[in-house]
Amino acid sequence: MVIFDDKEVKKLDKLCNIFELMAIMAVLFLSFSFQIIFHELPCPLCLYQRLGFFGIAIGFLLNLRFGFRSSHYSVVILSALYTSFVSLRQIALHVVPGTGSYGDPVFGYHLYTWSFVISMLVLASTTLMMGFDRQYKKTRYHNGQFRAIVNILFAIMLVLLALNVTSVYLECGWKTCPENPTVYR
Amino acid sequence: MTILFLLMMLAVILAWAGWRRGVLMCLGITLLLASILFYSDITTHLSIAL
Repeated sequence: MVIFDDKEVKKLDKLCNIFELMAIMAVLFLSFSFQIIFHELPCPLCLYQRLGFFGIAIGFLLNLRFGFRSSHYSVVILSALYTSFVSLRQIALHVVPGTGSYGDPVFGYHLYTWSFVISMLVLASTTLMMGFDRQYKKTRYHNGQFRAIVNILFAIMLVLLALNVTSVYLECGWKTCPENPTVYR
Repeated sequence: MTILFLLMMLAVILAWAGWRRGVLMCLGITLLLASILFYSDITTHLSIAL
């Protein structure tokens, strides 16, 4: 018995990819907003986590631009693993009582804790999504509306990256970033 | 660090332009460099702690 045909499976996977990509973009946008609004300069570990989130987003963008492939999902999984390791390292730095924390908490948790939770969610959802074999069948049904959405997502991604490149350059220049940054150079 | 973000930007531009292999190479290099930097950060702190 076939519940979904190939076209419906692909449509569902496209929707899932767009949803996850937008969620990751929201995370990146919020972290950049906190940096600007609350004047919280990101530490080197925070920047590594951002880098990992950009890697996750690019994996989903590759799926939308070139079609579903396991190599694109492996980019997402590798980036999510990297992000989770870095955030876990930052959690471990502050886990002992009295060792302080970095930045203000959001909904009771610090940003690096949220980063770990989100990267774990991405790992779980991506391993589930890549399990649907029928999405890898080659079919052509990219319509104009879908292409426009993908182009908009690419443009948003480039703007986010350009903002981050500028802020990182202002904070660190071409050298390694300071451990506890307080001012832009 | 700025170079890593620039490499990510290059990956997005290449993806938009349609060069899939270039994107994968660029991402691979970026993640490898980021991992090396992260590893050196851990080992520096471990050597201080131990």
